[in-house]
Amino acid sequence: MLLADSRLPVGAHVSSNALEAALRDELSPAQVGEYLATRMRILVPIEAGTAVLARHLAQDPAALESLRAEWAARTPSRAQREIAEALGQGLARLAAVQWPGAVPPAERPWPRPMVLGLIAAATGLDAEELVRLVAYDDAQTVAAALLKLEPGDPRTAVALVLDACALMDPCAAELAALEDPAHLPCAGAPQIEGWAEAQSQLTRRLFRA
Amino acid sequence: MTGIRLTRAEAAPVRVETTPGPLQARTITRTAEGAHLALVAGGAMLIGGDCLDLEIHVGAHCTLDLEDVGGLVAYPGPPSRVDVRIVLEEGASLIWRTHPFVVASGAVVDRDTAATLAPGSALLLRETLVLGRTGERGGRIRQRLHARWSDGTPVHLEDLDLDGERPAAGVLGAHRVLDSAVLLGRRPSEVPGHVLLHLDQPGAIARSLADRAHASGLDPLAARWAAELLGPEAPLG
Repeated sequence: MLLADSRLPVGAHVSSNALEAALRDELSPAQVGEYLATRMRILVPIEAGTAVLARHLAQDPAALESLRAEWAARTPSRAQREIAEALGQGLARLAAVQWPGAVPPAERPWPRPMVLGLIAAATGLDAEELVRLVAYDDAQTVAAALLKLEPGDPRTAVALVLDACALMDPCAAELAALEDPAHLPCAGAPQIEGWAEAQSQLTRRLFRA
Repeated sequence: MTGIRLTRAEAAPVRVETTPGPLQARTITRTAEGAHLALVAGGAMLIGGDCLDLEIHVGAHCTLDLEDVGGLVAYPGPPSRVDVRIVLEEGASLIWRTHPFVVASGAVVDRDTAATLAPGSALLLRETLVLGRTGERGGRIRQRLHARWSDGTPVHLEDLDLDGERPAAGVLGAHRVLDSAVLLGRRPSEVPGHVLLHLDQPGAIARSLADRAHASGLDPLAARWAAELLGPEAPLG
């Protein structure tokens, strides 16, 4: 639960998961539920699968580097990769104090889903719970940003998160069983990838990503 | 199975071997470094249930400039498939300018492109995917593009699952046309006015969502990338 808390001092509050750029483009606030559903179907399986694999391969540095390459090849937006690495670094710094040795040193910062997986390995969080954590985190990031960008009823935002997380439940077991990085899902969402890049270039913005 | 194989010949234009299938490759020009070929459909396609296989092999240090002569329409009916295998040997380049691929309402298509790139090779794919003919919302397509270096390192992997009857916010939104230029194996120069997706491995994708084909403005960018690949000294066709 701690890992999914946005008050954790790891910098996750800087991300809206591209919602800010999406709302400035053609997404209406009424479509945010649909936006979350698309993320659950397309992006979250990549992130959650990466976390599961990092947990599984935590003791094998070479395999972790291959996993990083598989994740990066499924993340075509440089802005998305950079924010994932920045947030991963924040989380790794926390882990260094809280769970020393959980996150092995690397030349480049590990992306956030890999750091989550490595912490899960060190703390005994099981793979299915890890999938749900990543899903919750993704939806909560969008919902929290929505309240800042388009202030509305916080209870509606909670309902959006619960609905989105329910969409992930049927796939959680399959993702949790992943063992080979080559089998990581690789669905793409052209509009979201475009928004992620656009977000990084917005001149007046609330969120970095 | 339609096949195209390009290899260097000594002191002569490149050797072009083609295996005719539902698609046929016609040579337009050849030089010592490369060839310009046109890909012609042998009949109406894709009719429901069709399987179209295409294998493109570009030998070391050859350049293949491949151009579709007509677009493809996937017609309503049972599922059809398009399977493309691309193998690029060391230093090879493939530029493939495809025509719009139209997925009519009621069509179900699997379109699978797998590319293997040897060191120094590069691939430029110019593609336009259109959901529906005029007045239609479009059918279903699962489009895969999986590219890896010859040692297995992934370059770019993407599965797009689209259904014209179920537009999804964040995928294509309300748009019916996905126009793209995908460059793998090279880092292109920045082009003002285009938001590029710079891949982790050398490569970039320019994309545009539109409501009709030929409206996205990617042609000048794709032409520039093609020119960067072909080089000034090797004008083909």
